[in-house]
Amino acid sequence: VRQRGGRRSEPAAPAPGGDRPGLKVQKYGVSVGDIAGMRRVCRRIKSAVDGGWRVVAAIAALGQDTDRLVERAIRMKGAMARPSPRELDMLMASGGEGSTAPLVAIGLQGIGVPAMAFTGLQAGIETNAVHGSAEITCVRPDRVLLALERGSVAVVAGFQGATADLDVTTLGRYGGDATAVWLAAALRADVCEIYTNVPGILTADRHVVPEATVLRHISYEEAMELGSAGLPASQPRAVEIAEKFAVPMHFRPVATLDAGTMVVGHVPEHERMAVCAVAHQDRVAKVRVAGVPNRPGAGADLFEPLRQHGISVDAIAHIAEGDLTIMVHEPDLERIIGVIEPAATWLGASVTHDCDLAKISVVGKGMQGRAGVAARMFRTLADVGVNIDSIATSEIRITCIVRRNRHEQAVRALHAAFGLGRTAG
Amino acid sequence: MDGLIVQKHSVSAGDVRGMQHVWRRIKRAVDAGHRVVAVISAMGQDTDRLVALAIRIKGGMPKPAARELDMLMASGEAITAPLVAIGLQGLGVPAVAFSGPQAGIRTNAVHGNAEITAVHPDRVVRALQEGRVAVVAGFQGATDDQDVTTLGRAGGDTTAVRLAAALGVAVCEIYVAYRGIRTADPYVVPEARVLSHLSYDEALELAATGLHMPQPRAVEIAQQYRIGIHLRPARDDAGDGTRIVEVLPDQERRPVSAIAHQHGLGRVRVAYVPNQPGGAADILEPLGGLGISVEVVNHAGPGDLSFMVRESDLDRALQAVEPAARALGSAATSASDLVKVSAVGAGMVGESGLGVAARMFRTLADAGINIETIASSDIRITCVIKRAGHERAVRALHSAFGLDHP
Repeated sequence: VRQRGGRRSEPAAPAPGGDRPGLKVQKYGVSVGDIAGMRRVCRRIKSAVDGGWRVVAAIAALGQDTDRLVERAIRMKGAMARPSPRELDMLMASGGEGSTAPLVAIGLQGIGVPAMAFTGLQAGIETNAVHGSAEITCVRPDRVLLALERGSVAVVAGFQGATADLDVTTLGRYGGDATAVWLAAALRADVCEIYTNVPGILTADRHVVPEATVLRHISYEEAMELGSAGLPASQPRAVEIAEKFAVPMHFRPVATLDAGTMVVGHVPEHERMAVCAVAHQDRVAKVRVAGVPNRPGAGADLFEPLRQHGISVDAIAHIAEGDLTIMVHEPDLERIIGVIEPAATWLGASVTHDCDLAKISVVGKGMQGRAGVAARMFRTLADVGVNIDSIATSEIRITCIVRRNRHEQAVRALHAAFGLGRTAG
Repeated sequence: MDGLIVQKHSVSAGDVRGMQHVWRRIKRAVDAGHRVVAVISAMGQDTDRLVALAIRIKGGMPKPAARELDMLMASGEAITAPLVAIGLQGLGVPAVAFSGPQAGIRTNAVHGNAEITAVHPDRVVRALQEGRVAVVAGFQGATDDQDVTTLGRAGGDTTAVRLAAALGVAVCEIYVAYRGIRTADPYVVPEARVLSHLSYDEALELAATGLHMPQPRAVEIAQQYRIGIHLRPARDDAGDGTRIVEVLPDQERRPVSAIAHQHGLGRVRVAYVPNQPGGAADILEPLGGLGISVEVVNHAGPGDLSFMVRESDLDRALQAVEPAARALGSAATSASDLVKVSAVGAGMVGESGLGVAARMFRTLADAGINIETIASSDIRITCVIKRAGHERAVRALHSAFGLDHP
């Protein structure tokens, strides 16, 4: 399904109901200082407007703009453990998206496209008060609608919102995607387009599998599983919200007019496969706690300290005969051992760890009720001589933990075994 | 609210030492038992970069849209205010930062030069009641639509004065990079002293003259709301600054408070303007359209009409009035290298004004300086003289009005 060559222009907007043109919410990432990047975004928006679409553009700032501000705040925090999150959010929101959104609006006006910039607050993005990683609770985009009715593009600062008290909040990582999806839901947009530097959602990481192809369609569940399994371009939380509100998401490359990937409720019949993609994560480590007493709450005693330190153990955790194994991101290993060891000692358990592992997952809605996917995965790994350390599954995902030295070979073998290199779209 | 003070500080986001200085200032007030509202102004360089980017990306537009430009401009204070709050918290001083809109600063929608229409500082009051310092981003507000606006020049001073008024505080402290308002430019008059008090009217008259001074707009608003302005040097060892008040204390009353001067001026003279309705208007009207500001207009008709402009505008001003002058059967000429010397003092009102004018002219005559033009208001007498010798004139006047010694 790799797109060769691009269409020369955007397809024209449909006119649902016949009375008003279609509405797109588009999400872009730009850096304040990158004029060329901003111009490219402006042209991209213009081509949608020229195609007859009404457009809401959610703009996320790229990290470097706010990194400098956070550094300053850390220099000034004095004796405090960390700068106060409320004031930090004010910094992040002003220095990042608060600056890029008006600049994009000005750039659009400069090429003859009427545009209005809005902060998250002005766009009606209401959040809870968890500064630094706030959750959107409600979106009331009255002013965005007004701008659209006047024929303007609404340029909304992504990644930020405000509490009922009008305190500025930021949404945490990938908050820009969440802003776009929520706006698309509230405005009943025809589509939410997420523009990135990659061509779409791929069947595997191209660094490892050069023949990986772009999926034309993927289901919400698959996109979520892939995001957690380490394949970039889909942020699980944003996809979850899109599914909840049935917003079609469209991952598109910013640099070309290639079709990218649509995230939808139902993948068209002819594209359905047992497995849609192979994801992997290297730099995985395993922490094993042995001799955990078999009583209620023992697991909680171990995990609670991790939660308190803000460490998420996105991985396999299973208890078998007093053994508890968790998979962690290798760079976090030392910190996690430091947290979990005292708790384990207190329970009378012991902690060991193992590094140099990788996590390989195959994901596909089609594996439900289709026999033999797991067997084919294990056989494929065996054929390339890769030993499986542990296994975990969900309804649409099978994950194997393997040694790191041969994991890339394993990913390539799985990609071929499930027929992903030559799928027709 | 007892012991409440409103302070205004200017600081640049990148200037850590300047920031530390501001925290210490605020902490000192808190340690002395005050509740503090700190209004923060950012220095220009923080937003200059963003404005430059806006100009690069604006494409075919003559200038970037004012509404979006205001969103960019407001980010200067939106960044410095939370940084100041974080710094205070680091020193153990409870503090909370507010944007202009959060502090309840409501404005009209004149982007880039908005006027405050109302102040509802509920959240500021709540923070103060909780024992926190309220750190407010100056220079910015929001319309009823929650569009961000900026207040134009002196915006931070204006925020501070209006907050003081809304909070019922009688005096607003404005920290400045100079020692206070002086009796003359110290480069010309080494004996020039810092005035401990100055009236609003005097401050407004002096504002146009090149002496260090808050923007006239902030002074006007202070006068309107009867808020005293205490200009305080940001440096600790630089004295107590100047208080701008409605009425000077008795011991501070004097016919003349300061001698101001301004050079870089030119004069246009039209030899004959008939004494008929519209004569002066015909001459001066074309200048407004060119954005040339005119002062010290002299016309005792029928006869000649003269006015002063900035030297850089002189040639354009001359060209602009020539057609009208010819139509009146007259001709226009110009002179450059002129200096305006003013004696300003609330005490010259009424009878003593005549004495002040006479003494001013006599002093200049004794110094051998010819007066080109004279203009006056209730509390100011201005003489236009040639540039050569103007420093001598300023020194002589400073001495003649007893300003050399307290």
